[in-house]
Amino acid sequence: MWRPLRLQPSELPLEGDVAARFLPWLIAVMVFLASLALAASLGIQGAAERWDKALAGAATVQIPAGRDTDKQVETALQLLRGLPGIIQAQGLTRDAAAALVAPWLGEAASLPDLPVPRVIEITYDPQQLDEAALRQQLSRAVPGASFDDHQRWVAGLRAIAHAAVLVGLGIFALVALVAMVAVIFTTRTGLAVHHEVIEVLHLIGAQDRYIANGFAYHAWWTGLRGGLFGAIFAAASLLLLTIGATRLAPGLLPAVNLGLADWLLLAALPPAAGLLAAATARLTVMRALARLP
Amino acid sequence: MVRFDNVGMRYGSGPEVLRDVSFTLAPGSFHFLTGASGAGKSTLLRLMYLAHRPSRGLVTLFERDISTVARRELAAVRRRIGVVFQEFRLINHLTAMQNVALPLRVAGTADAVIRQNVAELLTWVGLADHLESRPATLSGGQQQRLAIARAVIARPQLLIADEPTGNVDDRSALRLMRLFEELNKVGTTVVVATHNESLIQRFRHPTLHLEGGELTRREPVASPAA
Repeated sequence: MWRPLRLQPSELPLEGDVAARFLPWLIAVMVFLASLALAASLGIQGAAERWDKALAGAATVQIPAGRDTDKQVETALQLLRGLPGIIQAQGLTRDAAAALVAPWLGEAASLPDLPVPRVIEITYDPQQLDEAALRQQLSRAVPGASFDDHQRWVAGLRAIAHAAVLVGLGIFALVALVAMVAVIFTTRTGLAVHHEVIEVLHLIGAQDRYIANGFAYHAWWTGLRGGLFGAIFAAASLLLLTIGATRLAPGLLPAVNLGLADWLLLAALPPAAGLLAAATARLTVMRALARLP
Repeated sequence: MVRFDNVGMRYGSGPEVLRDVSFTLAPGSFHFLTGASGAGKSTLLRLMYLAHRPSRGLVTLFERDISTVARRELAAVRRRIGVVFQEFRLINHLTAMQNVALPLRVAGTADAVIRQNVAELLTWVGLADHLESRPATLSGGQQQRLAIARAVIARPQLLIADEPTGNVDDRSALRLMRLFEELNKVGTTVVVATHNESLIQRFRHPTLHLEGGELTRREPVASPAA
């Protein structure tokens, strides 16, 4: 029977092992790193979803500067407002359009002779709007006008965000793997140090799982204690980062904008570290004991 | 109860330390195991309490061919065997009670039952005042009695003692042998490995004698137990 929460005193004095003393600290560091990696992944994933949601059903129509630009804008607006699926279509004034390019052109953007293209902002229902028909009708009514639903830009952002999430999860998995290796070596040391007690237990009729549960129980507490320490430190670091980012550079770090579900997931890391350590220790001991007659 | 058929044993690629050992121990019997140092007594006992599997031959315990018993079932077979190890092999960080409780604990016995049985047995072996003592604080004789208590707490059908009188005076050795005889009278099969010729002379039990890894049986000597 699987009994990781066994409450009886252990016949194996694993708490005193020199190698085992460092394990909680090692797991604390691992959980700290895993928490940051997971937080980064969750934050980036959340940001990508927010970008996706914000840009879904939004598009712009761009009309190149020319002699009859105002008339062309009006024509395009009439066309757009008459199409099924268009919720709103609003043309930006020349000054507003110039303001958009001002960061790149500076004061030159406000020169009256500068050919600044005009922009119409559209919100639409993607289920109802026939984009191909819109493009066709628009190019017929206003030659040179272009329809941009931001999908190329969004697709690029989405790919970067997914890559970042994968890297974060990869780091998370690597950290878990390193923690498992540390538990394996500590458990093997424990097996070597306590081989006499283990042999006595074996010879008086202890099942392998009885001995393995002793190790698993110790590993569970070690993982949980170390995990709690690492998670508290990681939570403090993330909060400081969030507060610092909000005050110093608002909007620059959406990745640390975690929701309640994300925090709950991070809070699950210490018990998960305990369970991982317990399972690893148990498996290690079971494999080692299988060599006994 | 115990049957060896042409059993041979070697460690790794070394020479055979036991050769063609065959004998049968009837249920409820009492046997001495003798032989010079290095004759193979401890190896024979280790085969008997399932610390090793033989290199060849057949070991039958409790009417079961051990070679056909699944590894996970061997634990249950071991629980029917009590062992008094030569060096006692007590667990030093546990108290006397906890040491004696081990066979019951690994068998899943309830704590209340364990507490009662262990206290009674430790009183019986004269350690009532040392329930919470650690083995290191006990004398050699007390440690020996503790080891015996641990070996018999689960009422084994087979009791194996490896040189149990090696470190005690003659009076303690006699007391110990009477303890084993009492257990034997209630049906426990007993095997005692010893160098102590005076004990063998004094107690009338058959002897298994090992010489150079080969077994010779000696009949019990004439004089009855004192």
